[in-house]
Amino acid sequence: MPELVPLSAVSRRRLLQILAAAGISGPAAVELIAQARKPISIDSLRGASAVLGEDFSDDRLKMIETALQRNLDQFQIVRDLEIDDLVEPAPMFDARRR
Amino acid sequence: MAAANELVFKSGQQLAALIKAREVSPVDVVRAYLDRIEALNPTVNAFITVNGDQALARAREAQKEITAGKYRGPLHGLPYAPKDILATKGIRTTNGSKVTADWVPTYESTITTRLNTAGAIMIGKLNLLEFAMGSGVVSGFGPARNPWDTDYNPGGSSSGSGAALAAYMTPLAIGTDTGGSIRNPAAMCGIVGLKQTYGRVSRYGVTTLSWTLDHAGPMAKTVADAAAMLQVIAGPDPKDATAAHEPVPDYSKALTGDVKGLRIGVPTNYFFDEGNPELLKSVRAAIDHLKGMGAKVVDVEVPHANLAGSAGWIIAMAEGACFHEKRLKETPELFDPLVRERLEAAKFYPAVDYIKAMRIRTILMDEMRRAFQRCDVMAVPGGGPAGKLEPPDTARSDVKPGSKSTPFRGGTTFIGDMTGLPAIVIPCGFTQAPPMLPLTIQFYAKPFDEAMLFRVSHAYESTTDWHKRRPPLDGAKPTTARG
Repeated sequence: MPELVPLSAVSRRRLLQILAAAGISGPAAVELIAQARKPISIDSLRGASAVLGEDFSDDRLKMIETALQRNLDQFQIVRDLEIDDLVEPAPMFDARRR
Repeated sequence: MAAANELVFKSGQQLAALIKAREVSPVDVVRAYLDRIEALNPTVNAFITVNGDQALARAREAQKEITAGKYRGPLHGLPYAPKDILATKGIRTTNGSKVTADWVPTYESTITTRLNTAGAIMIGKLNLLEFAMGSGVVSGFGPARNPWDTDYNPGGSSSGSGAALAAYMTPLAIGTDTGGSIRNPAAMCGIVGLKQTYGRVSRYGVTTLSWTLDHAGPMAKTVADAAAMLQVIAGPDPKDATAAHEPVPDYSKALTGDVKGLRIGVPTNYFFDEGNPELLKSVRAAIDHLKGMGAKVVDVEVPHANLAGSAGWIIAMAEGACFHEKRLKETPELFDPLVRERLEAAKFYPAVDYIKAMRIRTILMDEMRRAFQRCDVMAVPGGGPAGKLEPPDTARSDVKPGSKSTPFRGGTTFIGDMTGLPAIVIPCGFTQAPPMLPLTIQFYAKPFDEAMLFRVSHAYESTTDWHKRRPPLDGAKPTTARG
């Protein structure tokens, strides 16, 4: 019998591949993957705030935790994209690139 | 309500012809619009500030000049109103926020400087979503309302610009667009909204949301009016390093009505995947209409278009959080709760995500460039119909009860800001069931080819009458009649 691996122990990219193979894509896949990511905690945000030089109250940290969790779910498709090493960032539109 | 002065129902260029021929005076025109604003602003809330006395004084000056034979051009004597995020020297500029509610700039934006120099007359400043990114509901100045049904959202962030034009409270307006904020209210209100190429118009004096995504451009009732405005505000500006030195063509020459042989690209992925069925049907019908006029329709693909929204959001919010850093520390309680939530959360975005979003921008630029090797313009849904204004209790946060965290799609607009390409939204239909709400088509073009956008959209507009319909603000049912 195969060993059961907790979702959080599987890499996101691997999980995407597994879900795609199982025919699960779109919002359903995103939701499953979101569940697999370690949640943000207020304590972790408090630590990050110190790095930022910020001093958010617990109420604000709670708000940020919820908003950021949602943002990270939304941004996951950006993180999941594999980009060729030759692709450089485009800080803004440059007519010379036409 | 007193009957509206029929002057307000004429397009800007119709008024310009009357003014040039001295059949109508700028004073009469300005007064007609000021009366209209006085009658409707309590309902529509499109204007934050109305500077009637100054406008009338300038109208009298314009009248003197024109009478003396010093006609400055097609904007001379015409009223206009900028979104209240453009700095106007000596005139309060609120950014739609309590944070800057009393700010009186000591300098003038390049856009308003150029419009004023061309003889246009600023009659007031328009409502918006706070700092071009707020809820539009829990803001310092209350929500602008959609003239087609005042329970409905006029879109944003240039909410007042869209609403004022649809309500015939100004013939010309200026909006700003970072993720779609000109084109979205243009769509919801059924007017013309142009987001020109990044750099085509100076951003000097426009309060920043995102340095690398912000555009400021014309909003109007007709394509010809938008073209006349761009003619004046486009061009290099020593005060804005991103303002391009590309030559500015004579846009009036693009208004030929001819689309024979023009290649219209229709994306086979993403852009038509979601959307209101009535909208999609109207857009397809508009494309068929242009085909019937002699245009060719070709398939195009933008494989990573679905990433524009999420990547664009990272860039916009990260840059916004940086721009507002000091204000967020000093007066956080004055911000719209939604703006505060977005900016404070953005402080935690990793730099790697921001840079990766910039790399996605490179990918999108390359994919759009390839698409435009096959076509002259790309046709996609513009947007609509509008939804109802959100209740204040849920408008305070992006996290809605029971909502799911699906990727932020960015609609059909964010890719324009991410790639810098020009785009225009024009009306192409209305919903059938009441309330009758506008539906719109959007065209994209190659960099600095705004003339192509004017050509195709003017050809469509000239052979349809969607832009002639009036919202039911005067106590009458919506009508297709026009004065």
